[in-house]
Amino acid sequence: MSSLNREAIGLGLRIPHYRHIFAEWPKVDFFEIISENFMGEAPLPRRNLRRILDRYPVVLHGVSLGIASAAPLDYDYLRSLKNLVKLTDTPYFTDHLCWTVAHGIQHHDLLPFPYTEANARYVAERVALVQDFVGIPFGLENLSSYVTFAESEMSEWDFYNHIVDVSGCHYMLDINNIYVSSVNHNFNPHAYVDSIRWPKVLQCHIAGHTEKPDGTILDTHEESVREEVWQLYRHAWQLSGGFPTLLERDDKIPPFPEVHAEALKAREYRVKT
Amino acid sequence: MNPDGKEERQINPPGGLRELQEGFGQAIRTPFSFATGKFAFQKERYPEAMASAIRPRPPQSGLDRLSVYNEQYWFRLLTILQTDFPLLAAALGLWEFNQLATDYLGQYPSRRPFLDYVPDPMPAYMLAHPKYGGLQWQQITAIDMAFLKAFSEPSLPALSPGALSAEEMGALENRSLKFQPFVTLIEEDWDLMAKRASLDEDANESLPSITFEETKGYWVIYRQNDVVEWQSIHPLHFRLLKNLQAGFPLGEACERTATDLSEADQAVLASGIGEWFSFWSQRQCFQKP
Repeated sequence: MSSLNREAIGLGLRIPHYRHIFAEWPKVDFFEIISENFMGEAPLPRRNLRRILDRYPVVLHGVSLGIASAAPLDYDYLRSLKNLVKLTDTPYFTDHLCWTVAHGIQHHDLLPFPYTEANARYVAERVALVQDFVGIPFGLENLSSYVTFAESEMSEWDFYNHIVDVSGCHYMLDINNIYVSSVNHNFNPHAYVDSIRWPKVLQCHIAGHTEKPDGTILDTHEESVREEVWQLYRHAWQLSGGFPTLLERDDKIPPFPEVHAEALKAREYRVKT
Repeated sequence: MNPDGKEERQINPPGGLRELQEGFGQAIRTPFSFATGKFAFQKERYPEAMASAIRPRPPQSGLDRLSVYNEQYWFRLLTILQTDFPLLAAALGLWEFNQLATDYLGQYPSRRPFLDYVPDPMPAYMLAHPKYGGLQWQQITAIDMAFLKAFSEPSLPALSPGALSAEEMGALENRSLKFQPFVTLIEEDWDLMAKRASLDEDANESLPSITFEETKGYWVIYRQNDVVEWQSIHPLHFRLLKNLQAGFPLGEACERTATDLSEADQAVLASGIGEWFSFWSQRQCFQKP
């Protein structure tokens, strides 16, 4: 297992880019894969992944763990994840601070829940179990969200920091998600960034978002990164000792060189002011 | 305890978390109304407790805010099903397809962490459908499923005749030959495969329903060199493959295929068997016995 350089800039591996990658083998510091897309039996994704692994470091990013679900942890899922960890030799794996399953139904979405002391204890215990089970560092990603709960007793960042402190896990800090939630819930995104314990940050995400006519911002990953998010990234970089940075693009995906060039823009925002 | 010696422990959730998530989940799975000719939320059907559980942000109520997730749930899953069933979506038209897919997901919601399993119960759902349970709809669904299987099913060790001794080749006659899991035999009574091949994958947004011409066709949908392929085949060729699929040993499958044939067809069969066997074994479509 090798760790990533803290200046590394990576991209989410997406099918529309395979042809370019396999033809050109562009210089990319690392790729991040959606774990669930490679955990099944389908042979083609695995074959493509092996080709990528021959040339690039790969990190795992999950969407279905459901660490905050009231439903029991799915150990079949975790065993598959562990197999993928072995295959990829990833230095860490990441997933979201959310729930996904209720009534036995998988919602395939990253769903929010109230930030209470009791929920913090519950989630922190589950995070510690999962990290111990998988056996490598677990980076927990903050959500972008569209609702808040009457029952919540603390801010999202207090809740998030508490989980990281108590469970021994790490941050997978999504800068765009902080910005999206700050607009949707009317808080200061800099206060969120200021609260982060930087030595515990494994990686940061940047991405684009979309504004609805009613002012709600959706974390769509279908547009370029907005300047406000880059500015928040600059602030995070100034506070930290650096972190691997990854650009996510999941819809209306431009050609690879365009997406890669956008990711490399991160360097422009690393200048100290 | 699992083989790594790691305990598979569970933690009891705090009081109220399960109930909140079940209410939230029920709300976001509330189907859209299609009655007005446009997607419409049915927020009045969200569980009552959600109204007080979620903070309003005037002018939006808590339920207005929750509807963002309701919309995302359906758009995500309907889009996946449109992608998985392009011929069915084209045959029904997108508006009708979305209503059918909504009903399908109500009956067969996803229960696994992987999206690959979402389409699996569709053939059973269509078979039982009061309006779309007929043969044409079954064949359409089977074709879309065959393309999914050709992409996603694993390759098992393949029969490779070149690697067999003369004795082993001789013994094949008395063995059952199984197809690879990624192979599907398709019999059509309309020009379904031709229509599917002509679909423009990017034209889904304004998809009109399409109609089909009656014609008989026999196809194999499979995978070769990581690419999904489809091959039109002679009816006798298809009959032979069906007999093999039914589990009859190669020799008996040939005999059954030859039963009640005209002389002309017997000649087609006799001249074709070797070539057909060779065609599919070269493409590694048979499993190693």
